[in-house]
Amino acid sequence: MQFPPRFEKLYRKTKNKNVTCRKTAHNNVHFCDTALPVDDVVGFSLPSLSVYAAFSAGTICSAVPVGRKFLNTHTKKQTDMDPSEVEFLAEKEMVKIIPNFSLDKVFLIGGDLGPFNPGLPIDVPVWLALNLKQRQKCRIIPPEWMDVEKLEEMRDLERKEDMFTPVPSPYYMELTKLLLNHASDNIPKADEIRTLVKDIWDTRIAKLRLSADSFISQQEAYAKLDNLTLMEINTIRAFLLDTLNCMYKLRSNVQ
Amino acid sequence: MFIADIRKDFYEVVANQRVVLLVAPDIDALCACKILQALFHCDQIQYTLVPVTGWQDLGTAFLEHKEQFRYFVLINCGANVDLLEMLQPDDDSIFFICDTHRPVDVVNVYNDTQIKLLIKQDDDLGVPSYDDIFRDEDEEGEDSGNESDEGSEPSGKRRRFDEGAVERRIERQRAKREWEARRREILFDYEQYEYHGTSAAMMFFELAWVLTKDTKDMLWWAIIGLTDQWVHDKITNMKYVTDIATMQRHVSRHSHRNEDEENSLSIDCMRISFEYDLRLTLYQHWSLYESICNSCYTSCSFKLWTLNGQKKLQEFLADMGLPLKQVRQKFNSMDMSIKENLRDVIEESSNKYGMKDIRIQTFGVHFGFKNRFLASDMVHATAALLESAEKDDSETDTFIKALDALSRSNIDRLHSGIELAKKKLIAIQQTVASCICTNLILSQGPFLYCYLMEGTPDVKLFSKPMALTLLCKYLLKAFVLSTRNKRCKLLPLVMAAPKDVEKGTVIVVGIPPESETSDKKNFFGRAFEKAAESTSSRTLHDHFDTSTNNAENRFLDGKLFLKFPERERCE
Repeated sequence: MQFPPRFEKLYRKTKNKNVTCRKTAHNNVHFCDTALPVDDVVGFSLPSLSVYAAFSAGTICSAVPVGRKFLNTHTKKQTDMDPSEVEFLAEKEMVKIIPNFSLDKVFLIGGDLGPFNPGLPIDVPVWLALNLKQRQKCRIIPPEWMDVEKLEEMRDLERKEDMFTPVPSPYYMELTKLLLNHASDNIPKADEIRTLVKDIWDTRIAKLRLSADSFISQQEAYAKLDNLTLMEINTIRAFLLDTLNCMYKLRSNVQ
Repeated sequence: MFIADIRKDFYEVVANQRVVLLVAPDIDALCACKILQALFHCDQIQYTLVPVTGWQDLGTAFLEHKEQFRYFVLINCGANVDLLEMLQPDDDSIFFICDTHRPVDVVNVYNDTQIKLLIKQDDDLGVPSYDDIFRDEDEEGEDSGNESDEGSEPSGKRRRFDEGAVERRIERQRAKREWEARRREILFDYEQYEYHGTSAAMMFFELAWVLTKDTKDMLWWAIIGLTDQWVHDKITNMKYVTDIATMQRHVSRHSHRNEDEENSLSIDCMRISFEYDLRLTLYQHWSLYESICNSCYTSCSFKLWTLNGQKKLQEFLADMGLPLKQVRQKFNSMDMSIKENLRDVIEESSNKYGMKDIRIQTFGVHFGFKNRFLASDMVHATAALLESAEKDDSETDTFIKALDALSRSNIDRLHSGIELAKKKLIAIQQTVASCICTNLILSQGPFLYCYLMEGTPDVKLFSKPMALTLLCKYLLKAFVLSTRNKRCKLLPLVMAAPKDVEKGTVIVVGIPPESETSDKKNFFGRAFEKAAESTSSRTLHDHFDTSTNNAENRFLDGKLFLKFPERERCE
């Protein structure tokens, strides 16, 4: 990502670090002065040297660097997360399984995994559930939201609303893919579920594209997007940042 | 010794150990290996997989690994020779042998410590009893002990005792000679014919079933192992049908697990079904016409190497009402109306043309929207991959490629295997046609003989044992149908093909005579050994199948001296 030299340093310092920021007064949003972790730098605006930062909650707002002393000096260069990294994070979610072996409580760094008894359901992280399933040591029970009727409702709601509706799970896409690839014999009506989840995904990505498009074309300074999942942000992150950057360059050259 | 409880005496013994898997190059062994690998992956047992192509390979592999490993699992090799004598292992090496070759060597059966046989004891073995073959050596010592005792007696008594002792000694020696003669006869009877027992893949599937870790994938591999035995003519029809019934029980158990209206399974899940399908090789991946021309059964029944035969084939197709244009198309593109009743229509018409067994009991698998395979398709594809004559591939490479083709995630490889199998079948049919038309089969007294010259097209394909055996069987069937000489119809066939042109070696295969109800017992193992001795040419009895061996060119001159045992077991 190319910036003019005077902003390059600022960009490098701001990215992925904590900055004091203020949500600007647009569209009835209140001010707030907090130190938030900046997920990525979206662009710069010349007059007030404010930094448009995107946060992982999906809110894009402008941040005013109050002083250099608030900025750290370590930086990361990447502008994008690999989808496999997102999947890795998704594997920490818990899912219910029914083991067919017995094992005492296991003490791991991330937490304890309770005693396994054959035939009794237990909650484990997805990574363990998939490993046990591949070794034929358990049966996976689909999460509650992975049900044809519920997903149909969600899909219809998503199509009606303009804004993003609440998601069944912050990692719904990754979990669907993992569970349906490895344990489709434990999940009833797996094909329909796959189709429904894909429908929901398509609708949300379409909305995201539309809002990014209007954000850029109307040169807005602020956009509020609730209920976006990490995977969806990840699909648009690189493109949006590059675009805003190009727009900035064009604007600054014209002036 | 035979293992009684395969879970306790085999699986739990190797559960925390590292094992070496020594696998022979045939499809049944590949399937058994896949099942065992899947079980090892579930329980995280470390293993080393070594493909072995012959006795020498086996010896080398054993020497390489004997320091680091104690447990060796041999799949489809090693049961029919005295393994301890051949390999000279240390006392703590343990061998688990799962082999279809019979007869099992008597030393392997009666060794209690180092050799464990993963074979069912009721598997039609006919092992001679212990007392008939092995005899305690104590009785020798008794004699000499008596003599030395009696030597100290006073001379008068000695004379009397001497006579008694001498008589007893003579009596004992006579009994011993009789016993030894009987022993030789029993062993000769036991070891003269080679045949095959239950598939190794089925044995390991049973192990998986006992551990309740059996999946549909493993069931499918077991079915492929069984079908391999049938395709390559290793077991009798009766045994095949019995084993199919066993597999059918497992298939129905698996397919009723979660199939009902509300919980239908995803289309990607594997579904195995029992089929009473046509005996036309690869017909669903080829055109119907090509398949009829290149399947042994139909090609021999119509005698498609003659003009008359071609005409009969056209009549047959017309009789069924199948237009030629449809029949020559790829099977998947044929009209649905024709495909619907195809099997029944073909069965009806083929009865009129004297082909009573056009349908055979088998299994088919179906996963995803596109992938449908019959067990025999998989066998042919994998066999073609295993014996592909690529220049760059070593035998280990082809082994690994064939092993990969058996997984569901490598459909591309399987399709390439099917293409190779088609080429192989076409080559076999053309070679058979040319051999019959040019009278390359000579009658050499007690047997028929055919030698493929070096310039024959596709002769490189036939330097491999399985392909050459298949060609041999087709050729014998075709010859029996086309010759008028009544005596020749009852003769066995010996076939030779060049193996390595630079070294001047040939590969020789012998099969028993063609008959309706043969018990598939092959006596060529012993016959080849005797012939090799009588001609003193260098032969390498390297293959695990004793009916195949490599020899130098001089061996072929010695053919005339082959003598066969008087009794011929071909009812």
